[in-house]
Amino acid sequence: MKFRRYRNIIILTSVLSLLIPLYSQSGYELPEVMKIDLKRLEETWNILDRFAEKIWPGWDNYRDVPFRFSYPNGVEMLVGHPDPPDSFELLSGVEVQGKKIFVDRHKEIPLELNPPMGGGGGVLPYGKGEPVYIVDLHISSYRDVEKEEEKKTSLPEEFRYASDRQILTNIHELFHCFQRSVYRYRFGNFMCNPDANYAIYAEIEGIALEKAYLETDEEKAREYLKDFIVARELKRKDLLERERNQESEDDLMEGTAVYSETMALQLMKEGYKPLISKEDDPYFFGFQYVDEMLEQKLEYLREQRKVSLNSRGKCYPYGCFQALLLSRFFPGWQENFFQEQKLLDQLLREKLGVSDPKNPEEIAKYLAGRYDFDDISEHHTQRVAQRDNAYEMIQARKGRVYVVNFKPTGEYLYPQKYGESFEVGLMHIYPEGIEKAEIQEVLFTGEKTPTIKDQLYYIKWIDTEASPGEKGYVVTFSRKEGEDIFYDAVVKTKGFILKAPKIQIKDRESRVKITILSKIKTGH
Amino acid sequence: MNFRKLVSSLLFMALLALSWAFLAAEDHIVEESTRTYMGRTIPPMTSEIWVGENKMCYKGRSFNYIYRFDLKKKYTLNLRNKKYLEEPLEESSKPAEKEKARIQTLGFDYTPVYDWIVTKTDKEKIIDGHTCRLFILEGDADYAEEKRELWIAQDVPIDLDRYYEFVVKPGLDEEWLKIYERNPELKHSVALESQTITEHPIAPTMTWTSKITKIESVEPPEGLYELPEGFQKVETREELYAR
Repeated sequence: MKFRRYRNIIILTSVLSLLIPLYSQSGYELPEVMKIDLKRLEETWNILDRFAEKIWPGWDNYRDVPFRFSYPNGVEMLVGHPDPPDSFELLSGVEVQGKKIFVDRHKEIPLELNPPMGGGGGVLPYGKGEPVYIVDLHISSYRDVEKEEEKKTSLPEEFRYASDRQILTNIHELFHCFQRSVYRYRFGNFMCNPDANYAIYAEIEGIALEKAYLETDEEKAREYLKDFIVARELKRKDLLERERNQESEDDLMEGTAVYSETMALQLMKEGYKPLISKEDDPYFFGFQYVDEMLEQKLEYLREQRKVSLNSRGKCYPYGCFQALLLSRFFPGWQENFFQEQKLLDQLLREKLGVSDPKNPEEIAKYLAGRYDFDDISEHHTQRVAQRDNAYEMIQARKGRVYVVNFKPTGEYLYPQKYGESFEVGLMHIYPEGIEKAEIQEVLFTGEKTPTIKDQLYYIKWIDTEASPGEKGYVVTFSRKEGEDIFYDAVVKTKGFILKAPKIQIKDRESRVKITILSKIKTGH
Repeated sequence: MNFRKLVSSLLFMALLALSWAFLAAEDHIVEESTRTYMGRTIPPMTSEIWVGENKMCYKGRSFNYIYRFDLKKKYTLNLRNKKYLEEPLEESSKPAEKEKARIQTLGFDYTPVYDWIVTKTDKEKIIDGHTCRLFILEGDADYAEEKRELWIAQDVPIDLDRYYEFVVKPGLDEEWLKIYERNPELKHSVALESQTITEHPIAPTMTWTSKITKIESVEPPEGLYELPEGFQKVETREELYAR
C-alpha cells in the first residue's frame, strides 16, 4: 500500500505540524473552537494512519478528503480543498499537516463560539470547478453552559466524550468517502414510516442481533443470526422491492461506517498513542473511556430496536452489528465485498445458507416462541395507532396557517414539547403543542395546541378559529424597515409568542409566514 | 412551349417551392442555461427545441424528448444507455389520478404548493433586437419560496400559439394554467432571458439562469421526430435511468 511507504514521513509531518501556530498571517485568528476542530482532524488522521488498513483492507484515501466546518456564527472553514468557491479566503501561514485552510466570513455574525462544540453532517460534492467529495460538518454547541468556570471544574458527563466522539464522527464520514471510491451507490435512501408489522419484526431483528453478538456458543449464535434474517423477511412483507433494497443499502452504507468507528475503538483499546493532548484540546480524553464508548454502541442497538416510528435510525447499529458478526464468523469477508456490490444481509444469507421462508406463518410462530412477541407487539401496535390518529387529527385542521421559518439561522430546531410527539416522514406532530423552541436570542413559546415541526427548520400552527378579515396576530417592535421587516419583534398569536431580533412577516390571505432574519442583535 | 409559358411555369414552380419551404419551416429555439448552487456555477448547458405541426422535440445533453401530439405519445430517450420509454400523452387539463398514499411514504417528499403573485413591470430591454418586458412571478409556499424573472418578447419569428400549445402548456399544472390564462401577454410570448431563484425547505438556495441564443423558423433536420435507430424500448423509468 502506498501509505506504508510514506508512513514515517507522514508521522514526522504530523508531529512537526503541531508546532505550527494556528493563526493566520493575513490577520484572522481562528477562534479556539476552530483550532480544536483542526486538532481533532489531526488526531483522526493519526488514528487512521495506524488502524485504517486493519479496519478495512485497502482504506487509504482518508487524507485526501477535504473537510468543511460550518459554525453557528456563520463562518465556514474549509480544509485541504483543491479549488474552493470564491467566497473562501486562504489563511496564509496556516496549514494542518500540509493542508491549506480557507475561511468564508461573508455571513459572519458577532456570536461567540464556546467550546466544546461538535456536530454531524455528511459527504457531498463541493467546489468551484469540478466538485470533489468533502466531509461537511455542521458544528453546534453541546449545550449552553452559563459559567465558564463550572465547565472546567466539574466537567458534565457528555463533555467527557465531546472530542473523542467527534473524532469518531470524522472517521465515520471519512469511511463514507472510502465507500464512494469502491462501491456504486444504487438504490437511494430508505424513507419509510413503519407500520405495526414493520416495527414488531424490526425489534425482533434487533434482539436477535444482540443475542447473536453476545452469545459465546457459536452454534447458538448462528441460530440467532438466522432469526435475524427470517425476521427481516417478515418485517418487509408490505415493502416494495425498491424499498427493501434501499433498506439493505442503508444498512451497508451507515452500518459499515459505524463498524469503522467500532473497530477503531476496539483497536485503540489494544494499544494506541494519541498525537494531540489536552493542551491542544481540553475536551480530548485520549479514548480513556473506550470501554464505555464500546458499550454505547451496544446500547445504541438496544435503543434503536425499540423505536416504533422511525426506520432510518436503525440502519446504523443494525448494519454495524451485521458487519461485526460477519467478522466474527466469516473472517476475510471484506475482501472485494464493496467491489462486488454485495449487501450485508445478502452476504449473511449466502454464508449461512438461509433461503426464503416457505411458510411465513410457521416462521412467525417459531419467532413468537423464541421472543417476547406479545409484549413487543402490544407496544408497537399502540404507538403506531397513536401516530396514525395524530396524523389524521393534524390533517383535519383547517384555518389560517402560521409558519415560523428558522432556516436562515442555520440551526436545526429541537423543541421542548407538551406530552407526546409523533414522526411522519420529516414531520413531527405535537398533538399537545410545543412548549418552547430556542435558538440563540430567538424564543418561540407555544400554547397547548396541536403544532408541527417540519423540514427541520419550520414550526407550523393552524388557527382553526380564525375569522375572515381578522388579522389574528399582534406585532410589536423597536424599528421597522420597509413594509415587512421588524427589529426586536414580538409576535403574539392565539397559538404562540415569538420573540426575535429581526424578522420578516409575509401576510397573505391563507398564510402568515414569519422568517427569522437574525438570531442575535447586531446593533442594526 | 413558348417563352412566356416557360417563364410562367418556372415562376409557378419557384413560388410552389417557396411556399412548400415556408410550410415545411418549423420553430427552432436554442437555449443556454446554467445553475448556481453551493458556491458553484455549472458550465452552461445547451438545449434545443423544435416545434412543428403536432410535434415537438426537445434535445438535451443526456435526454431527448419527442412529443407526438398526432399520435398522443411521448418518447423519452436516454442518450447514454440508448434506451427509450414510450408513454401516452395525457390531456393537460385532466389531472392525473392520485395513487392512494401509503403510510410508509408520507411526509418525506415535500412538494411546495405556491401562491403566486404575478407582476408585469414597466421595465423593458432589447435582447438580440427583440423588445422584452420584465415579468416577475413570486411564489410562496409553507416551506419554500421561488422567484422567477422573465424577460418576455412577442416580436419573434416563431408561431407563439403553437409554442404555447406544444412547449409551454404540457408542463403546466392547474395553477399555472390559470396564471397563463389570466396573463395573455405572458401566454403569447417567449422568455428570451430568465432567472429562477428557489429557496428549498432544507437545501441551500439554487439559481437557474437561461438565455435563448437562437430563435428562428427553419426547415428541420430529417427524421427529427422519429425514434433513432439503435435505441431499445424499455417499460419502466427505472430501466430507462439504469446505468
